[in-house]
Amino acid sequence: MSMVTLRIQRFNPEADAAPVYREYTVEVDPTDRVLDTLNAVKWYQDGTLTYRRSCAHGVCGSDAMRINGVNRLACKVLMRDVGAQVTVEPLMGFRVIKDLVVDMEPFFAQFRSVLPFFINDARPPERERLQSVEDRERFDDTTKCILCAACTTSCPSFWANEDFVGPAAIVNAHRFIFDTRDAAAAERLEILNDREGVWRCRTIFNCTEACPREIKITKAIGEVKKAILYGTARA
Amino acid sequence: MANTHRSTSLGTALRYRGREGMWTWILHRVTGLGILLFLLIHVVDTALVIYWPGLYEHALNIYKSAFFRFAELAIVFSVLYHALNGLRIVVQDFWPGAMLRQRQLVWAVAVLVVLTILPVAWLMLRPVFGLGPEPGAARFEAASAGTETTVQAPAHAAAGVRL
Repeated sequence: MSMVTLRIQRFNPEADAAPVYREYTVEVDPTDRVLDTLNAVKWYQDGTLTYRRSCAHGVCGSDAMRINGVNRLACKVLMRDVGAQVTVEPLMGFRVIKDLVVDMEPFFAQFRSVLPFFINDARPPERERLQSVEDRERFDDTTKCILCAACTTSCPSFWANEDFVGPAAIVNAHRFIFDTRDAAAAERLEILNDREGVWRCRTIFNCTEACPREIKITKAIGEVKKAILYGTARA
Repeated sequence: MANTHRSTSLGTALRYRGREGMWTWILHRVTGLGILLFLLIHVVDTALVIYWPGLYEHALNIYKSAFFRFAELAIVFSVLYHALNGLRIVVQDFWPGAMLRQRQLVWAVAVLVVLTILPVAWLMLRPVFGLGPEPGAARFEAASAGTETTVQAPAHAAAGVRL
């Protein structure tokens, strides 16, 4: 057990004009996660601390936040990897609802804008729509997204322009654009060819570095750009 | 009335701990703006030779100071970095598979920039510290001494053509 200082950005929109930082000293095990430490603060020191968490095992994507200045899931970062002084702040670019909770609605609106669902109006075959192993492999990486928003809120293009559709939405478009069973690739490419679409990406790689599922996001965006450039996702 | 807060300021952005990709992108922007600034100054000082030749000579004398020798080296660095980093981005754009090696590509660009800028820096800064001759000085002196044949006049001038 050792003592760590947790410096948390607090913001109560009904009381604070601007965010303030409060420090909490917590006793932790090296194998505790940042989420456990936040729980220790909330349960034993300050019940007003507000943050999202649900599954607490890196699957639901609820507890993305800035930990020591970089986007991470609080449930996937161990205390032994962050040092004795830890700064925890909300995701950048979205309105802070309270403390570490940001308004995710604009994020889900971006997600919905790329038609993130299977589209094929052809009459389904008697059994499954079969697909080769290679064809399935083509978009395997982008099926792993958990919509935590760590990528989109790490993107300087998004910080500068909240209308940018953002890496997460492009990842989810990629998942269907490169699926041979889907029939709406052209429509999605048209959507992403918008001035707020893929071309705002400057290949900065903050998204790829931030993704807790290790999706090669910038590469996926690059593949979508290329598909738009050459007019086909089947190249 | 509830207050609102969104973290988007430049200060907050620069505190984000991005890695190679973020810092190379920022440097790409800074060197791009630097080259633009140089171009604007260059257009103005070159225009002086037509309208105020005296001021043009004055400007050229200012450029001979040690400070501007370092500034000129900064221009060379900007052009070099912007070009090589731009080629890295082109490679990534046309071969997205290269992005799996994005950090190595950044370091490859860094090594190329350093290897190229070091000899250039030596040649440009040597005279400032009295460690060697001004590049091109020997040729200039030979021309001034009356051996004009070493420096060819432009063909149109030799033919007496007025532009």
